[in-house]
Amino acid sequence: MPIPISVITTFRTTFNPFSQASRPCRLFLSLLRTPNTVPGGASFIDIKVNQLPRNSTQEPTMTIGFKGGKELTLEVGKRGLKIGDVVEEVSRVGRQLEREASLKG
Amino acid sequence: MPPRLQISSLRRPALRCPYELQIIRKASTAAVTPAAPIEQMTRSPAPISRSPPTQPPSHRNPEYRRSQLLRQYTSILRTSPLMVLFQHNNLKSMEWASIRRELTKALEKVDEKIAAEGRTSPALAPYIKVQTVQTSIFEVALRIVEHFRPTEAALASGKPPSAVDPITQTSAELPILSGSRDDPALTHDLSRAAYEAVKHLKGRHELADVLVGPIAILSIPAVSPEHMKAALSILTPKESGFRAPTRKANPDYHEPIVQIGLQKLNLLAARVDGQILDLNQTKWVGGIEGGMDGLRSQLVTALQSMGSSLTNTLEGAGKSLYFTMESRRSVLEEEQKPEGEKSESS
Repeated sequence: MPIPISVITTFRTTFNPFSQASRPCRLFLSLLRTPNTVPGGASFIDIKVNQLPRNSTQEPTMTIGFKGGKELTLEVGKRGLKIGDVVEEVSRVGRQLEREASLKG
Repeated sequence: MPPRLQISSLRRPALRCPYELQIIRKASTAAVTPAAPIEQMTRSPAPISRSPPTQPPSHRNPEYRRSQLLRQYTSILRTSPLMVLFQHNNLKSMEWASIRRELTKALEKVDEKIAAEGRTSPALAPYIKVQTVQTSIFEVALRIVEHFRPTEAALASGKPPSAVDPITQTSAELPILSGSRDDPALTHDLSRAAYEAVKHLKGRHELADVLVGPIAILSIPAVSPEHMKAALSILTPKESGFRAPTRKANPDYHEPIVQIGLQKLNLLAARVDGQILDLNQTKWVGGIEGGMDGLRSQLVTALQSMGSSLTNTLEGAGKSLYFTMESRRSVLEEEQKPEGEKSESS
């Protein structure tokens, strides 16, 4: 399932790299940080990563901002999401936005 | 028709070596067997091992790339006590190349600075490398390095056999299994013994959760916080908090290709002498001034001040006792004096 990189504008994530629940955050980060999304690239994404200390028990979360101001906050740790689920949710929103844009003409 | 094969050409070799026949005749008349070397007379030759000592049979197939990667990673882990882990996200080869160039430059500067200060630590810059790793293989290598401790007996039996008794030629008998790749005597990293020893620890290493996704390591072959600080100031200046070189000092560092590459690097963790450190602890290690020598001098001053304070404490009890007794004596003397004076006067 492709990630709608062109409609994503911001990405904020908080995770503790020593916990297993942070896997989807880090993998999604590696999917977003492509040569196209760097400053000056075709579709720039503003990425901010906040790493927690090792003994922190805070659950990992991520917030994805889309074009048009829509924001999607995923409680990755609480819901026990995996990278496939995250990609699915994000691409669902991406498809909605693309459809609205096509209806507007 | 002349013969196709020139007869003269056949004869020529014989003519070239006219002494050959003579030599053969001499050798046949005076055939002396050379004496066996002393080594051979006192010790019998070792029983023949089926595999050369440098290439023991291995449980993991040595022809596979993953086996050789495992050997490479165990070697890196054993030789570099200081290691920093990064997440790298889709860096292009040119970005890697330019980042490595900047890193080497910064590390050479550190070496020059250490040499200028007159310290005797060897130059490390040519040995500090950034490389990407296969996470699953790297995790196995970590487990093998940290948890596989072959016993002395196993190490000794793994060595090529040497004969002891000079009478029988193969006195030290090879075990039946030897020559097979599952020989329990073999204790190298690709052996079955290593595999069995760490199998039950799968996914239970501290770094197992960190080793997910694209990972790169920076390996430093000595615990040198100065080199680590220089490397982190180049690779992750924002996350580690160490200042990157200014645009004036190093204009190459501020080229877009380097900067774009660096945005895709994340500092994750570090491994110092087998200890796993997170981001803040890594910053702390990098912040040690003057490297290991500086740390040692700090320790010395701490110990010295502690010694003086300890002597003060120990002296304190005696001193206070002394002062108490002295004051008591003076009080008593004063009490006695007026009485004496009184008695004398009355």
